[in-house]
Formats: sequence, structure tokens, C-alpha cells
Amino acid sequence: MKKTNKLSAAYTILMTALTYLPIIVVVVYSFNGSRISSTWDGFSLKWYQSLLRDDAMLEGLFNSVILAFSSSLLAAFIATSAALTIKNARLPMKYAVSKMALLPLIIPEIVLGMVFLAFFELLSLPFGMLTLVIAHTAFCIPYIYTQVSSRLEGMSMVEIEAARDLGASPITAFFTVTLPLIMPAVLSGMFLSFAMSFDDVIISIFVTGVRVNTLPIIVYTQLKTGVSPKINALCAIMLAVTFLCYALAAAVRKFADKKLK
Amino acid sequence: MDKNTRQNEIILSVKGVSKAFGDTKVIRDLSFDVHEGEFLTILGSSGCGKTTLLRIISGLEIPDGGEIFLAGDNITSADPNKRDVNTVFQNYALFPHMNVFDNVAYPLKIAKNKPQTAEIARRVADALALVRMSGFEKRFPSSLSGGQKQRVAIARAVISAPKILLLDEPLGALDLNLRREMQGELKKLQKDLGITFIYITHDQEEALNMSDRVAVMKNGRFLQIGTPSEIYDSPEYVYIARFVGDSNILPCTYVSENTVKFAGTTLTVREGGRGHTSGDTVFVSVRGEKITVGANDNSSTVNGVVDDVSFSGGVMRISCNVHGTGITTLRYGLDMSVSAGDQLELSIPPYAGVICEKDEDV
Repeated sequence: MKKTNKLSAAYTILMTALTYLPIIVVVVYSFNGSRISSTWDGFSLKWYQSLLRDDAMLEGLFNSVILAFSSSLLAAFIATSAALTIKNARLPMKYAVSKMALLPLIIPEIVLGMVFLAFFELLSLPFGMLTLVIAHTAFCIPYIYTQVSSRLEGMSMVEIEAARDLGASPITAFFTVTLPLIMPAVLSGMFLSFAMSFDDVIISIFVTGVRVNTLPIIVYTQLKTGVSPKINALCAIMLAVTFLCYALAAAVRKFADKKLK
Repeated sequence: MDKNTRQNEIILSVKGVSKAFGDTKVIRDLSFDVHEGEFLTILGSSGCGKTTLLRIISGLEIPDGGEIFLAGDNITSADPNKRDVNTVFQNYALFPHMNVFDNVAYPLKIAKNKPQTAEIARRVADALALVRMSGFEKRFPSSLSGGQKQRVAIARAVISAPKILLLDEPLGALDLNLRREMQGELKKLQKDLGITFIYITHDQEEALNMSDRVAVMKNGRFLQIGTPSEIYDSPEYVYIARFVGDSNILPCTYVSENTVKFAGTTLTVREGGRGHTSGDTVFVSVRGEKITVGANDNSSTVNGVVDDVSFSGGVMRISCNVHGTGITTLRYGLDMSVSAGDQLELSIPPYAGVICEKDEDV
């Protein structure tokens, strides 16, 4: 008993270290005063300051935020309507249809990227923000769909029936009861989507044009010239945004579980 | 039918309604009327179709056939929000994202001609006072007990003064004491508001206590509809006699009008409304409390052997075996010493029993 406990403790520590040590290193070195990554030369915010002065970086940040925000918003509309429709539909292949919405999670990103590239070329769409938003919306849908459909699964339809019974038209019932009840799931799915879109590089590289760069693309292309402390700072910022999104998603879910059950 | 309800106009008329889910017929050609201000209880075991019937009246299900009239208007296929009928759902169905005030105000806030804010506040206060929930306005449903949720659900359902209130086993989730207390309150509420109640339950005690009329439902049909005393004293079917109260079912041989033979003894009984010919096997229902121990001048007497004696709440239940038929007699007070194996004489007074029909074919 004792032995297994020690063994599993050691295993846990090892796994945690393997996962988080590189992250910690990157974050710590983003505050390094030295230009050379291997030597520590005191705490400094200069890499963050230089990021702020870098117009290409700022544009990348702006692009990433716009992209993540608009694709998670679009995905929220599509995924929520899909989840609601599939829930209420009497389809012979309901199970298969609902699982199909999750396909983008399983398909390798490189394949998705290729497919989008070919598809947009076929439609002769101009590569840039538009194609980025379409592609990101597509792969964000499953994150929101899973959140909303599991919320709908756990929700009894009786509150909606009660609203109808008390005089609400289908539209009024949707806006006063259904939507507020699934909103936490929509929001938490949107935060997850935001995080996924914000740090996507593979699909973005395939579908963006020459002029539109997102932060992850900048990180990726600059890596070719070596890891600079500035990239450490950029990674630290992206990590912070991603963690924040996940934390918000979890917080919204927890709030909903407590309040709405 | 009691006098009180007969005077009032018909508020709801259900005509030949049927409903099937797949191959299962849930409601079979059902027709009945409900009078204004009446408290009608639909009593039946689970799966008898009572909830489906309620959902058809509220508009949450559309019947396959038949028509429904509310105050003279054909509402058979009207949307639930277009019917002046509200439901108190079994599990309350309060809106979890709204506090008590907003829950109760909901029907007014979404109404086409929405009252003014002050008017809404006044009516919510009245409705909450009615169900004794004043002061709970700011609380959320998740912080309320089952009984409190129940009261809020009732307040929400009556605030828009519907013509009919449908109650789907509203006391089912409450414990016994609270259920008894709420029975009285519901009855009083119904009288105070003057709203017609259609109440469904599987609890015969609830049905007999609160209702003006009781409809006993089985397999999508009403077996019998009548006042609680009609249902209790003159069950038309063996099923009802067994379902409602303590009843003894005696297999008898029909002799002539009002006369049957049971275990060699002639009994004088009430006719059940259907003709029988001499020699038919018929079933007579006799309530346990009508059978007395010991010989009695006017009564028919049968001999039995005591199987079991039990006591509950000042009532003594003596179960006897009379020529293979179990007969239970109820005796108030514990004034008799009797135990299993004793020989007993049981008296069945004239007209205590009523002939009821087997219902396998219904």
C-alpha cells in the first residue's frame, strides 16, 4: 500500500514536471534581462516593452483577437442552433448526425488545413481574414456544440413547456427561458473556442494570405531564426490568455451547475 | 353528480378524444364535461393515461382524434399559450434563473397587454400572500424546499386567473404530513379563487378528500365518474372497489334482483346498473367497515376463521377466511380480543354490498 502510494506520487510529480516545467521555464525567461536565453541576468520587463513597440506584433495580436472573437461568436450561433435543432428533431440517424458535429475534433489539423485551402481555392475566395474566420469557425463549432448539447441533455424540457403553458409564444419562451438556461454552456464553449482559435497555427498557416498574420503564425515563423526572449514574452502572454479562457469557461460552468440546478 | 356543480355551466368539454404513441393507445375515445368552479380529480395508477390527458387539455399534446371545448370555444389544436388554462407541474418546473418574484410575475410580464410595473408588483404580492410565501420574493428556486417550490408554482399558475388550473400530482414529491396539510390548503384555495381545478393523482385518499367529483381512469378510459361517495359506496368495477379504500370482493351467484348467494348464504345487495340473469357469477364489493362481527338480526351471517389481526390508528383489522374468500372487517376501538385461528360470525347488512363488473374487457 505504502509502496504504491510512493510510486504513484513519484509518477505524478514526474508527469507534472514534464508538462509544466517547460512552460515555467518559458515564463521565467520572458522576464530575463539577458539577451541570451541560457544566462539569467536579473528581472526585467524589457521584452514585454519591446513587444509593445513592435508594430507587426501588435497587428498580429489585433488579428488574433478579432479572429478568435468573431469565429467563436459565429461558431456559437451555428453550434447552438445545431444543438437545439438536433435535440428537438426526430431524425432516424440522430445519433450519427450529432456525432458528425464532432468530426473536426478528430480530423488531423493538417488535413483540415489542406481541405480548407483546396476548398477556398475552388471558391476563389481571397485568402486573408475572411478565410481565417470561416476555417476557425468550422473547427470551433464542436467545442460549443458539445457544451450546449450536454447542457440540453441534462436539462428537462419541462421549464420550456411551463413557459408555453403560462402564455409564452415559442419565440418568447426561447428568449426568456431556453436561452438563459443554456447561456452558461454557450459562454463556456465560446471561451474554449477563443482559446483554441487564439493559439491555432497549423490551420491558420494554410488559409491565411500573405499579409494577414496572427500571433501564433508570428511565433512560428520567428522560431526559424532562433528562440529570442521576446518570443518567450509572447508565449507567456498567449499562455496567460489561454489559461484565462479555460478558467472563465470552468467558472461559468460551475456557476451554472450551482445556480441553475 | 352533486347539486353544486350541476347548476354551473360547462367550462370544459372533452369529446371523443383519443391519442396514441406509436402502437400504444394512451387515450381511448374519452368524453367528459367539467363544470365551472368544480374540483375534478382524475384518479388512476401510473400509465393509465392521466398525464397525457392533462397535456392534451393544456395543449402540450395534440390529440389524434376528438375535440376539446373551453368555455364554448374549440381549442383542440390551439397552441398552449393561446389557452386560458395553466398547469402546476409535477416537479414544479420553476424557472431556475429567475427569483420567486420573477417566476410568479412571468405570466403577466409576457402577456400581450402587459400590466404596469406597479400593477404587476401588487398582483405578485397578492398571489404570494395567497400561498403564504410573502417575503420570499428575492429567493431563487434552488434555495427553496419542495413545499415552498410547490406554493410558488401554484402562485405562478393562478396569477393570470386562468379559467382552469391543471394540477399534475402536485403533492407527489412531498412527505406525508406536508401532503395532508397541502390537501386542505389546495381545497381552500380552490374555493377562494373559484377557479376550476382538474387534479390528477394516484392517491385515492387525496382524490376522496378534495374533490367534488372523481374520475377513475384505467387504460385511457374513465371507468366511472362521480362524487367521492358514489365512487366509494357504489364502485361500478371490481378495479375501482380494490383501488379506492378497503374493499372485500365476494364472488357470488346471481339469484334475482338485489339477491345473490355467497358461500351458501343469501345476501341482499344493490344492483350495479347492468343486468344479470339467474345463475351468473357476479362480484359483490362490501366495504370492510360495513361488515360487523357477531350475528345481527337484519343481516346475513357467514362463518369464517381468523387469519390475521392487525391494528393501526385505533382501527382493528380482522382478516378472515370464509369458504376460501378473504374478508377483512374493520372495527373501531380495540374492544375485542380475537386472534388467528378463532371462529368468527360475520354479519353483512342488507344493501351493504354492490354488484360490480370485472373490467378485463374494458
